[in-house]
Amino acid sequence: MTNQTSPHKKTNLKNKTVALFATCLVDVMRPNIGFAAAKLLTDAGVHVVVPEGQTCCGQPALNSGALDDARKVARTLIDAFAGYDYVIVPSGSCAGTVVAHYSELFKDDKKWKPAADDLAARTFELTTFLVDIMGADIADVSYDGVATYHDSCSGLRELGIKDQPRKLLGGVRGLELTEMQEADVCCGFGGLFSIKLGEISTAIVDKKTDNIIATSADTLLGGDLGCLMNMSGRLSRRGKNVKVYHIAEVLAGMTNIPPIGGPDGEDKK
Amino acid sequence: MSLNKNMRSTIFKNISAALDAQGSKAAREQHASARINARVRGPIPNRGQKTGAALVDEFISEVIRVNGEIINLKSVAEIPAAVMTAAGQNAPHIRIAPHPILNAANWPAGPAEINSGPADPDDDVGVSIAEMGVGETGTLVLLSGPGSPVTINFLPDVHIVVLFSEDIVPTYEDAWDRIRKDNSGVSVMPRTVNWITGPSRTADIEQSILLGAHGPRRLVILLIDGKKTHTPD
Amino acid sequence: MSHKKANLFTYDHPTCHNFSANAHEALLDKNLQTQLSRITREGFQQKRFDAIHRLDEGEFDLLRDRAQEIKTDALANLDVYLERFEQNVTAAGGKVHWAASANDAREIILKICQDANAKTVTKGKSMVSEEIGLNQYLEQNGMRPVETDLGEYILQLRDEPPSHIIAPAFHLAKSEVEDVFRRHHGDLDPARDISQPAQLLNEARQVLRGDFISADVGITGANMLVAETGTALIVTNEGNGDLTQSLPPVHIALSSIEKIVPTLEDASTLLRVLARSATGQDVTVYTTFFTGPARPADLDGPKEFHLVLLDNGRSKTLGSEFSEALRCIRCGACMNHCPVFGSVGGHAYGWVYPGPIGSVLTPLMVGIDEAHTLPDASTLCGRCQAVCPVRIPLPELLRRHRVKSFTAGKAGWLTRVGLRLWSFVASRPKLYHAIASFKVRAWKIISGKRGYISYVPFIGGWTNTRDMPSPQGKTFMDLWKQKNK
Repeated sequence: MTNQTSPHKKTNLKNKTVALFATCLVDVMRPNIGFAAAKLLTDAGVHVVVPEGQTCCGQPALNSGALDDARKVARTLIDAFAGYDYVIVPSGSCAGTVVAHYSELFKDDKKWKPAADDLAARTFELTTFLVDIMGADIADVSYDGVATYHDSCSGLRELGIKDQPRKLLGGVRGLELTEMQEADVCCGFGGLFSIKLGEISTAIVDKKTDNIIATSADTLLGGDLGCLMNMSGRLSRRGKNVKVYHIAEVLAGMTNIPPIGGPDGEDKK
Repeated sequence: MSLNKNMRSTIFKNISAALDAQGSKAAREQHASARINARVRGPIPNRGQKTGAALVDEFISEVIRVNGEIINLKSVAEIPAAVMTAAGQNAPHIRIAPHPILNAANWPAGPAEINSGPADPDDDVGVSIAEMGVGETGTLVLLSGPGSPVTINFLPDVHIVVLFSEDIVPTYEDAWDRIRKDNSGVSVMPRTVNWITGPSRTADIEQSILLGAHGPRRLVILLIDGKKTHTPD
Repeated sequence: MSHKKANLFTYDHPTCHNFSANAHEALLDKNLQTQLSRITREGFQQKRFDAIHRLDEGEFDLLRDRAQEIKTDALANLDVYLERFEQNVTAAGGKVHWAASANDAREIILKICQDANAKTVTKGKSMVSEEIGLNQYLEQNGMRPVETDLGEYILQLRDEPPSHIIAPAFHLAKSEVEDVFRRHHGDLDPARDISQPAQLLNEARQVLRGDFISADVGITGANMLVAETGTALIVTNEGNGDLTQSLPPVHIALSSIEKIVPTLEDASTLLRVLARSATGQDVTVYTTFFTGPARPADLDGPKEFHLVLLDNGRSKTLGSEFSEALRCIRCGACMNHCPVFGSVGGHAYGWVYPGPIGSVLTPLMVGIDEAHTLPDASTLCGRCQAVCPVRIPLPELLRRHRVKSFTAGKAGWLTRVGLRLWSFVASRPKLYHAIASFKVRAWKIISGKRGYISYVPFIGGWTNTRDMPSPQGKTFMDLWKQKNK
């Protein structure tokens, strides 16, 4: 997949600076995804910075109905990313919070609404930015395995992420992509839902993992760490040996560390 | 009933409280009248836009898809024989709608008992005349009235419906236009307009589809080539 | 003798507050799980998908856009369309009754039945009648209501509420249906085989014939009310709704005020999305448009026609942040595509309307105290909104309920304090990163080299059934700084 994308956009962005919002989950659980995202962006020709003021998008509070708490955290994010041309997020869910919900969150706040709308307009999920905005290609990367891809809900239905990750994965040498049944159905994560209504969450992820296992794929990929941890956690508890990686890790050729939930989580660097 | 009036005014007060912020009631009245008078059609699927032979073909294939049966006839004279064949041996009670076309038909003297009028529970077969057919979904349109008692459509086990090919219209909206035109008086609608698409069915037990729930187990359409002719009584 | 489970709700005793316990039982109910498993590939989901794909590419979405516009217009001009509808029903010889509350509706209906000296009252399927607990009320007042929709009939015998708005008894196995028929149909020969769905249907058909004929009053719902002509309509597949409204001398249609649409054209557009979204049919077998009582020259049909219009909070909802929920045409697609409904079925939700739309409507109808659990019963995956024929933003409406419920202090002490602490820290990046950095290192030490932890305090909801992947070892922010020094 080294052709057929939109090169005009690519030239336009050469040497621009984009800000990476790693997300709170990647920050704490799996920095490798952040580095992979940075590598992909750098390889595509933009300069990547990581603003230090970033913490979280505020989604846990937003989805709990705690709007004051959500706004407090959201304002921090808006400040942290002020002034950058693009804000790139390796998560459809966190990007979706900014793009699809910040405007509503600040609808009664004259002071912050313009800044919230402005950030929403500059924010992109990683694979959509690479494909739709940069027309980037994946080259000289290989992954030896059969993978299946889970479409995380927010990315799919709030941001329309469906073809972009598959297009990029098509450029990875040695990787065979096999679709599972109901790839676009929720994995049962739902943030705090997975803890508060753990039994239902488990019933849902059981169906999801059944569908994953039925493909005989050795690798599960996705674009959202939360969902991946949920599916990995259930696969592991069911004794199923499926390697779970974030798509950025595979695209950047950074699968030299154990998969999510795999033994020896030590960073080998 | 004063209670009814009070409740009515409470409900309408709440509604106005919600809507008046957007504009006056007079403006709403104007808008509603204009909208109702305009009777704008929504998007019509391509399959609802066929004409001529393609329209009749579509109607037939849609009827068959929903488990209806079609018998092609050349003229009204063939109705009685077709009814007897479709009804079969085990249909001692046949009910025909008191419609001029059926009244004028040459019904056999036996063995089945043939009665005209609304259906009763003993009827095995009901015969009615459809006002129209709709190609889009293979739907029959029946209008209740003195010549079309509604019970015939639902009580008997087998429902036989006479339809003239020139009464097949492409889509539902065409049917409404014709109903409005035929009833140019004040009240447009008969008591019931029945759209019937295939025989009665249910999927209430384990989501498996079964025909003949409470209504007819079979729907047989006698499709007569040509135009409906209202023979006088 | 009632065989219903002790924890099943009735219209006046919701069990929404017990949602998690209800769900727990539902997950253990093998029969229910078998029926739920049919929804996906052989049932409602597949059928809807096939129906949409029998249309040309893009047509269904155009129809949905128009359907949304029609309902939005109807609600934005609700009072004037209702007035027009009432005038036209009256002109056709019918009577419109306005019911502010569930109790008002019950009393109005009872009065009509009493005036008709009714004993047996046949009923077509009506969710509004479930909403007002009509059967119980009629029984208490000496009437014999008989549900005639096959699913509703089975449930009436079992003394159970529907578990789905269009497939009320879908949660039952055929053996459970046989069981209840054998217990209630006195003259049923024990030797007769009624183990198969077709035999069960025949049995019910025969039994109900008698009631259709002897009924004094027939009560149906109405899926839509057409302002233009004063016409109401029902969509059915069995034909029971038509026998119910055409055989008895009195027909009562029970509906609610938001079901209004301007014209017959608008009704036609909505019908194009309704059946496809619901059962995956292009159109239901019977779509019956009825206007007033029998005309003088008609040979059959009811002599009296009453239309009872229920409000029950809808006129208040109209002016609220939940008004978009009033667009609902009750197709059931949201529940058919909901992973939570697909896991626990309808009864777990604890009131009449289950699934995503139920989780929006129920708190409005029974109150947030009882039903604050329901808006939480969602992963907010958005599939409901994606399939909704009138494009109701269900996840957003669920979030708005969560805001109300959080503001009202329903969230629980731990959640509230936890979120407050978290937002305090997460809005102070330096403090946040220091804590994250410490926490991750500690976590890493605890989890060792296995890659996951099998138990984490406070999040047993996760670790009871799932391992918790371990962190990599340091935070991204620390490592990035280190690398880019």
